[in-house]
Amino acid sequence: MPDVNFLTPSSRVDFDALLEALDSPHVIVSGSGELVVANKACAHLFSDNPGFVEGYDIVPLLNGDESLLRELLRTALGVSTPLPLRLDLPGANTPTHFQAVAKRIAFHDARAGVLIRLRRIREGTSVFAELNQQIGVLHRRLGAEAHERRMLADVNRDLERFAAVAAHDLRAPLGQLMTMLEVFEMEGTDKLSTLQREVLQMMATASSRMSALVDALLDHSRMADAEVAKEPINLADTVREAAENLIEPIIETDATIQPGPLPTVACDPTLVRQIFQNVLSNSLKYRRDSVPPTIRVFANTIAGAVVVRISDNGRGFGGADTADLFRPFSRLANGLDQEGSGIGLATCMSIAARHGWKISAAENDDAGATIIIRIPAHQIITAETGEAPDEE
Amino acid sequence: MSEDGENTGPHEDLTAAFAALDIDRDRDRFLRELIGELSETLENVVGLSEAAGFIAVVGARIGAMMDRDYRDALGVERMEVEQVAAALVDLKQRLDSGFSIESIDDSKIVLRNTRCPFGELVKGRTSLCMMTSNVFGKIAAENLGYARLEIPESIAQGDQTCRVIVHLVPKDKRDPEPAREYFAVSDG
Repeated sequence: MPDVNFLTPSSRVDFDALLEALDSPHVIVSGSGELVVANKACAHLFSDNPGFVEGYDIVPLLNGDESLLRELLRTALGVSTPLPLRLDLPGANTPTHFQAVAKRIAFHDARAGVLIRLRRIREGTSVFAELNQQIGVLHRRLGAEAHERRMLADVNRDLERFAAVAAHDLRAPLGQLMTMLEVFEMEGTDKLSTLQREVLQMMATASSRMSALVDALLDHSRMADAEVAKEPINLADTVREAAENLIEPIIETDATIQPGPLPTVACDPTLVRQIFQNVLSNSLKYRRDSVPPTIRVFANTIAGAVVVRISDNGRGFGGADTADLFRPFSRLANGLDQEGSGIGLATCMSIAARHGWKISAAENDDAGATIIIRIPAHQIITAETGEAPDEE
Repeated sequence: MSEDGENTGPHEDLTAAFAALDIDRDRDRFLRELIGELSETLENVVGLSEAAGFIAVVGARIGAMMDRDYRDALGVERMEVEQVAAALVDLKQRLDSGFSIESIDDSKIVLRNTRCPFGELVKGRTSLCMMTSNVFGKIAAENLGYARLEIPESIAQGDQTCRVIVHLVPKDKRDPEPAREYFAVSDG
């Protein structure tokens, strides 16, 4: 038996205890591959092999190129740097694979050996391959999700195109119908019965509603496809312009619109005015009975981004899911008495998305509702906001 | 193809035009770039400490080959300390670097280098110095029994020159300074 008694009897006890404290397989071999000492976890790996005995060469017990393994052991013995190793143990059916680190270790009598720490890896793989496989699974899942999102976006785009085409094609016959009804009225309805006059009036009202709906649909599809021409715009000016376009209902309802200091941002003025106009119009429509609408528009800065809020004292959403409000043709149960296409907020969402903004809605604690628009920091030119403190 | 059999088609014209471009890349530069990129990728992908293990294996093999060449050429079983120092300088000069001996005594060989064989490509790539360290360490340890490499200055780290100290006596165990040590395996 080769002389591999590297350890004195007393230091051997300490060393064995130290090795046994390690859960993973550890073995010390001489530079030529003779087994010096192994912990139980390592001995267990070789339990079927009668050749795994102290003092005997363990290199032939391993799979692989013997001369290469010996060269690596000698290299490990010649340098203080730990070396990476790949070891395979033959099995009855398939080999067991290990990643290992080999480190020179010196003994009391100046002789040295190589301490090898083994880590079992899955058959035929390395840690890298294993990680790569996991990344591959994630990648495939993400790819499938992206595919679904694309499909959904395609379907939505097709539906929007269909709505746009339908609205466009309906407009001409609808216009003719309304003109004919006007002609009918101009010609006089004296000869008609009361019932006929009522039916005629109902037809006029219905066609007028349909015309509004078709216009809203066309607006919506135009906004979705419109080119966003960004320029520096002060949002307070935009709110004032939107309010001017709503002057009739504002006077009718005795509404007050209070735009606070708002930032100047890079945006498309026409599209963004449409957002404010739609939101203000909703606040005017869905007001509480006998309460003149008060609409505050204010902004504050949160982590560099600006959050613009349009808050009213109206009916609120009646507990509806606020995410649904931004879907086309969404109508609130507490607003069915009001005329509306159910497209206004969907158009706002579409315009906001085209700008990279986020839009959401919330019920106010006391009364009314608030539409919230978040504008990213990089689009802010002048963050002139109210004095409201940062929140969230 | 012309009547005399020479290629004169558009591909050949383009090839000739590209060959005339003012691009400074030859086989030597390509190999230096390749090693530099491999080394940096290894450092960045597996980390410097693990890369050190791979580089130690490569350095030990190359060092063993070079050591054998010098011993065979000199016809000696082992080189003395002066011969080792001369071999380290010579092998680097053959690789177009500017190594010279600064001092030699029984405890250490100090070398100075003014030009790196990797040129500008070495900057920021300390793993290339690790290769030098392993080759020098292997040669010194196999001939003199022990070597400990220290590179206190290096072009790779932004210094004007490299200073390589090959210690020939084992370090004091209380010395907390980490160092790369090499041992003669033939005695082991």
